[in-house]
Formats: sequence, C-alpha cells, structure tokens
Amino acid sequence: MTGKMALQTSDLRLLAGNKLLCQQLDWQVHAGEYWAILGLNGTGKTTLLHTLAGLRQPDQGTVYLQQTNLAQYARREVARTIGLLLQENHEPFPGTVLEHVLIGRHPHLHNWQWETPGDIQLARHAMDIMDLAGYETRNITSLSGGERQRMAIATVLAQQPNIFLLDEPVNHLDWHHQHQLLQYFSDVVKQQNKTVVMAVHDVNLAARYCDHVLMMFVDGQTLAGPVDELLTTDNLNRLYGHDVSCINTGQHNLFIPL
Amino acid sequence: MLTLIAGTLLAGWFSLNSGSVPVAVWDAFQHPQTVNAQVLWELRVPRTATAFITGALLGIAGALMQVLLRNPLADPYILGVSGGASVGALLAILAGAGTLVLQSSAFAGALFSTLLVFSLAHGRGNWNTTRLLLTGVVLAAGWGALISLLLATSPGTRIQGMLFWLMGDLSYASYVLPGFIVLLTGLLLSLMTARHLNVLALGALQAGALGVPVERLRWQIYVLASLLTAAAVVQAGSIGFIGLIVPHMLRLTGMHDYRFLLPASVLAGGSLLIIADTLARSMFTDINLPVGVITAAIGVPVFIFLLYRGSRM
Repeated sequence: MTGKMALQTSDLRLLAGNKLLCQQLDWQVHAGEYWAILGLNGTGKTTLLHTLAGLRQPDQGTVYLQQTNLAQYARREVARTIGLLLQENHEPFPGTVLEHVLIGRHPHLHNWQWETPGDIQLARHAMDIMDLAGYETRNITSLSGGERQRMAIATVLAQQPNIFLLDEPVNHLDWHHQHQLLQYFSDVVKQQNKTVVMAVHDVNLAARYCDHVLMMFVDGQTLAGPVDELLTTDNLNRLYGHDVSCINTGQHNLFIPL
Repeated sequence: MLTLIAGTLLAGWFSLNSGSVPVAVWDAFQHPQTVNAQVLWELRVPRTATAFITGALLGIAGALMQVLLRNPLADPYILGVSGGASVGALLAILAGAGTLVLQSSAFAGALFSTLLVFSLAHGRGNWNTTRLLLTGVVLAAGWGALISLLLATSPGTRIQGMLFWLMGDLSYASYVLPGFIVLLTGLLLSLMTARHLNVLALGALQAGALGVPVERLRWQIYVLASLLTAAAVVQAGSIGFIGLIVPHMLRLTGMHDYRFLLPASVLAGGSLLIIADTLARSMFTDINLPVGVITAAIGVPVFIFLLYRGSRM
C-alpha cells in the first residue's frame, strides 16, 4: 500500500548547458518512502534535487508537489514543505552554531516576527539529534568538516519539512554518524510518514536503509523502483560502467566494486 | 547596543565641545542669543550631524554590500558608486561651481554609475554575484582612470580642493535634513529585510531553499546600498574605511544577526565618523586634516586589535 503522492515529475527533461541529464522522466514519490538517487558524477543527481526543490526550472516537463504544479507555489510555501540539504556550504561570515540552525525556522516566521522560545527549542532538539548538544555558542568557522555537515543537517531538521531532499548527506561523516543519520531518517519515514530522497554514492547504504532507488544513467535514461528489484549487479555494472560483485553476509547484500 | 548608544552620545558631546573657539555648550543651549550659541547652532551642530549621518550611511551600506556580494572585503565603494560621484564632483570643482552644484553633480555621477552597473550586470536576466562584482570593479577602475586624468590636467589652484574631496571632507556640510531622511528610510527598509539577509549570507541556494525570493532581494539591496552610498558621498566625498570596518568590528564583537547589525552599524559608523571629524579639525590649529586620514588612523588599529583578539577566542 502506498501513501499520498509527495512529489511527481511528468515528462521531465533536465539539461546542464547542452548536456542531457535526463529526459521523459515520469517519477512518483509517495509519502512514507525513502529514496536513493544513484548515478555517476555529473549525471544530474544534484540538478534533479534542485529542480524538485524549485530552485531551478525544468527544461521541459512539470514537477508536482502534493499533486499541484510546483511553479504555482510561493517560495516560502515550498520551503515549509520541502527541506533541501545542499551538497556544499560555505559561510564567509562568522556566526554561532545555534544561530545557524535557527535559520531553518526562517520559512515559518513572518517578516517582522522574531524566533520564539518554541523555535529555539526546536533548533536545540535538532542539534541534540545530530549530536551537537553543547555546540550552541561555538563559532561556525571553528567546526570540522563533519561537524559542519551535521550542523547543516540539523538546520534542515529544524525546518521540519514533510519532504527531505538530501544531497549526499553522509559527506564528511564518520561511520557512526553515517549510520545514525540514515537510521534516524528511516525511523522518521516509517513513524511520521515523511518522505526522504537522497543522492548518495554508497550503494550499500542505499541498499540497507532505502526502500526505493532512482538510477540516473550517463545517457539520460533512468530506472526507478523498489530497492530489491533494481539493486542487482547487472544494473550496477551498467550504472557505474564498472564491474560489481555481490556478497551475501546473511544479513545484508554487500556490493563491492571489482 | 546600549553601549553603542552611550558611545554615540558621548562622541556627539565631545564634538560639540571642540573647535577653534571654546564654547560652553550648556551655556549656549541656555542663552540662544549669544555668539557662542551661533557658533554652536550654525557650525558645530550641522557638522556633527552631517558626520553622524554620513558615517551611519556608510556603515549600513557596507553591511549591505558585504552580504550582497558575500564578500567580507566588500565596501560601499566597491561597485563604483563613489567613482561616478567623484568624477561628477571633480568636474564641478574644475568648473569652480558652488556647493549645491557640486553635490548635485556628484549625485548625478553616483546615480549614473549605479544604473550603468545595474544594466550591464543584469544583461539578459541571468544574474549572479560574480558578474555584478566584476562589472562594478571594472567600472570603478574606469572611474579611477578618469579621476587621475582630471587630477593630472587640472590647474594647481583646484587640485587641493579636489584631493580633499577625494579623501573625504565634511566641510561642505550644509543641509542636514535630506541626509537624515535618507538614513532613516534606508534603515527602515533594510530592517524590513534583515532576517532575509541572515539567510542570504549563507548563499543564494541556501536562501532559496529556505523560501527567500533571492533575485528580488538582491536587487533591492543593491539599489538601496547604492543610494545610501550616493547620499553619503554627496555629503562628504569618499571617506574610506568606515563602510568596510564598521560591520566587521561589530561582527568581531559577536554580533552576527542583521537585525542588530544594521542599527548597530548606524550608531558605530556615525560615532566613529564624529570622533574622526572632531580630531581632524581640532588636532592642529592651523590646518584641517582630511577626515579620511583619521578614519584610517583609528580604523586600522582598532580593526587589527579586534581581529587579533577574535582569533584567540
């Protein structure tokens, strides 16, 4: 049984300059699904996520957010429903971690409104989840790469969207935090009926935590479906242009590049 | 913030009390018919007010330009506004024009430069910060060349006036009200977008993802910052350093939120320029130094001190 439609693309075509990233993509993401987007560098994973978040226009076709054309939403409305974790963050000015995480509350506040104690509590809770308790007054510039990444994720959590679009969320994270993070999102999807779509390079993480996968091939073709059906050595060979073998550990299928 | 308000009042008091004629300020307030009161009301009050307004305008404009370009090195003049104004002003000085013509000419130059950058950088709608920055910087360099040309070809009698104007000079201070209105409007308008600015400082994509209408906001900031800068330059020439260091000084003291940073830039920029101007006109009895020299002399060591202290925290 599937939940309500969260995101849908119809006849979507994306270009990077003159290069075709994908075409005729008819894709449906329902509430309560956990998607991984797999593909080589430059096949359009990030561009697709940005298009779904309304940061760029489709070169052809339409994106629907909860069955309404995304173009009809105001920016702020989109930001209340969709949280996007960017691949790279760069802050030229100093600031504290709590200030940064509080920025996630931005779409929920009116122009002249100040953050309430409730907003601060949400931000602190998001920081707790990302193991950042005690970092409130730390200056952003003094954080390590992994800590910075966890701060960026905490900011998206504080935003409290129904749909999470995560661009390589495990970048810079150690093993412990990688698994903790993906397990957390797995729980959120199951218990709160939220939706997660993440671009990721580690096939084994996708196999272990996600229930669906979208494969973006170099030639602009795509494959979308349940993890069990699509994550085969044949498909992965074709996707990465690299020989892949599979080992069953009894608990999981482990894919290994040869 | 309270410290800043107190500091501003103190700076104002200090400025009103200093000058070539000793004036008991309280006395003059109480007896408005005396010569001293005339000196106070007709010379020192307008001058102090102009210094405050100019510094405040530069402080806000600097903070806005830095977030617009996401570049800590940005200052109000980086996009060529002051270059255009300077060429306008120098032409007026060369023609031997009076204060009003000079100010109008400078304002026309600033406006022309702003519009030129705007239309060139806008191009066919596809805008980005790098393009704006490059257009502005190139144009500023062009104005710089024109300024050199004017300086090189002008008669010696005009050169000193020109140099003073270029380094920043408050002695043209005359009308206080227009500048004050611009400052107040500018502060209100920028405060309306202050929380958006906090998000925009994290980058256009991040701001877009958090629901900020990025393009519209950027043009608003650009036009606003340019007009504020133009208003400042018209009043007092291109006074350096204030717009660059004031926002940084405040950030280094731990103020990152633009809702505080903008009003604080007004107070800090204003009082810094009051102090600098007071020193410039009272340090030596026989010559008035250009105020830009003093802003640099105060600004650079204070900034380095804060930077050094900040890096150890």
